[in-house]
Amino acid sequence: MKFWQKAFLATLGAFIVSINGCLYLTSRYSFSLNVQQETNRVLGEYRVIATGIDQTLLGIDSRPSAVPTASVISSAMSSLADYYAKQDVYLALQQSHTVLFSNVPAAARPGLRIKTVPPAKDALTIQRRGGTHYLYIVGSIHGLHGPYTFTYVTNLAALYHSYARLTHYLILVSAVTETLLALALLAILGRLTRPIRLMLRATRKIAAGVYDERIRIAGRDEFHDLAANFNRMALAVQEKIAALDNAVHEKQRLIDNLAHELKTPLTTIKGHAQYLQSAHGQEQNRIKAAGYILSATDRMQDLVYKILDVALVRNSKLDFKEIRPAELLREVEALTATTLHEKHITLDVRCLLENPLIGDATLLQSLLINLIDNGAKSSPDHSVITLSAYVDGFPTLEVRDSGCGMAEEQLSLIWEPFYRVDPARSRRSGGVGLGLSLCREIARLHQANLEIQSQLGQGTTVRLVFTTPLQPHENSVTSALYDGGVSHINP
Amino acid sequence: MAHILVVEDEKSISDLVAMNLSLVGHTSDQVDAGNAARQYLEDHTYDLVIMDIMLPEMNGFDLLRYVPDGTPVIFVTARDNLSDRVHGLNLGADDYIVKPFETVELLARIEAVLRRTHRALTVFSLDGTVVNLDSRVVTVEGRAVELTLREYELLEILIRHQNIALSRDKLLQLAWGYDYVGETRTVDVHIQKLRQKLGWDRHIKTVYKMGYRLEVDP
Repeated sequence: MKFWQKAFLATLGAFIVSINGCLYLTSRYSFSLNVQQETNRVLGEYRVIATGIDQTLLGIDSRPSAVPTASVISSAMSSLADYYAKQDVYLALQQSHTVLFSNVPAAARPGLRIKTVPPAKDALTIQRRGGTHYLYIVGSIHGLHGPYTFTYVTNLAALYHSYARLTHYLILVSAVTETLLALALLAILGRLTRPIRLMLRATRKIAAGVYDERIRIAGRDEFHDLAANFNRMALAVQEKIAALDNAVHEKQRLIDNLAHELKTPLTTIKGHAQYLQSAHGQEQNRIKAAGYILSATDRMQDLVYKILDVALVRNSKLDFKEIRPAELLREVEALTATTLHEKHITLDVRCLLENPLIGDATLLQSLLINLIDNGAKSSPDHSVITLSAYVDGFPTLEVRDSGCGMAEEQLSLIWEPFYRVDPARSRRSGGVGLGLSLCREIARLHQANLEIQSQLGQGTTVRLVFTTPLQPHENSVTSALYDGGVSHINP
Repeated sequence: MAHILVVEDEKSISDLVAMNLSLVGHTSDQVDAGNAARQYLEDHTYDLVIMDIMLPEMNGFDLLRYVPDGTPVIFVTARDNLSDRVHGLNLGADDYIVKPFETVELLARIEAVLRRTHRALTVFSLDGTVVNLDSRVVTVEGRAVELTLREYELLEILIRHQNIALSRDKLLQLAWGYDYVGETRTVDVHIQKLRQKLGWDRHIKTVYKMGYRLEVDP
């Protein structure tokens, strides 16, 4: 059952019970007051009549003819009774078993109780006889030859009739009121439960996958608050789903890229091996085919090693120690010397960082060597790569080259595994496109930010910023933020 | 003899395809990027275009628009999902080969597409022997030679894969059909017959541990 239906039935039920209870009790009370009033009036009249009869009987009794006969009494009563009969009042008089007089109508007669001895006190009863209510007052009149039982009967039809009419009227009133109330209640409940229906519709949509659905409820009531909270929740869900979606896509891209990376050397190896095995070709082509097989194997080897590197770094136990920055830079310089010498590139090392860093020396070396390699690949011969360490708010290691740089759209793709800035994805430069993934892992393990700033034709600057609680206190001052084409990753 | 454009950014694969095409007697041009391919398509006429989908500058799907009507296209790509395949074929590509591929398979598909578009070799001649691949008539020094159906099928396979050694299993599969369960000895017998009838002892070489190869000097 719907909420509005429950509220409707409950409210209507409570109202019907209370209004009808109220009307019933009121009408009962008013009726009983009326009966009381009538009774008092009737009792007064009864006493007047009783006194009158008493006098008459005393008059008759005091006659010398001794015991009065029934007929004498009857005739004395009848004039009185005739007078009152016009007012629907009937009288009866009896002495022990003998009814001396009665003009009580037949319909009311069964209500008369034949008593031999008149009651000590006036007894008043109301009885229903033949569809009409009669009031019986039974009392005693002494006289000289008493006691006589005197019965007074009056018709209460008018009283009951007006009560019945009142009851009908009240039932009508209550029915009309209840109908109106039911209609009003429906309208009110419809309005009050509108927010519920709105929310229901919205949740249904969200459940069906429309995560950007929002609820707009005006006002300041609980529904408004609920809608606001609900919208916050929907936003959180939407963001989470988007993040998951993104992660799935990224994974899929990684797999696609990896498949592509593997398929190309595989195709090369397989195809050229088949050529060597079965073709009746020229010697120079056979040498070429063998060369391709070798270079494809080399590439797969590089790829496997790089993937292993990333995996190892990700799972390796870290050996965090204090590192003298000057020493770190010196070692990196020594390790890259051969590669750089081939291209006649000068490495300009500047160490302005006195305080030791906390980190894994091997990993940081590996990171810097990777960055310098990247710089060397994008730089022309006889250029300069700057490797520096300094404090700019946080201790920072920086590799700056003046090579070909990257456009903004390339900058957004460089974090993707296997991405190579070199357009044709050609492998002339020999990289497999995992260097930055490795650097990112290393930065993450040091809880440091890896920032890349680059402009096409202007060269690239990569900074490893130790924004981390790992570092000794004296190194970290308040942060100075960089702006411009900076690509951030946070650990 | 068909003239074929190979569009592939990976030099080793581009060379592989070109080397194999030249083995079976086709000529080819090689380009490694979208715009260059467009230029080549404008300047030259080709019997077939073999291209990768992931290309620098312009992908293979887009490049398809610049291929003249009627020129068949085969995609050779590492992208192995159904939607790409369907997309490629819907756009009008004639075939779709996934890397890594078998050389023989690639050549067979190329041959099939060329034959479908009536660009395949129709007459093959070597040392006075002329094979008309349309009418299936074989003559040696002008004399017609009677070949059984299987012998002719085998001859055609050898011609289509000239300069490439085919294993006995491969020959069985190609000439007798996939479901043929025969002895590889059958192949030897038929090769022997062909050598006798055509006088090709010198040309049909037995390749040690491999199979047979029809050698035609380039």
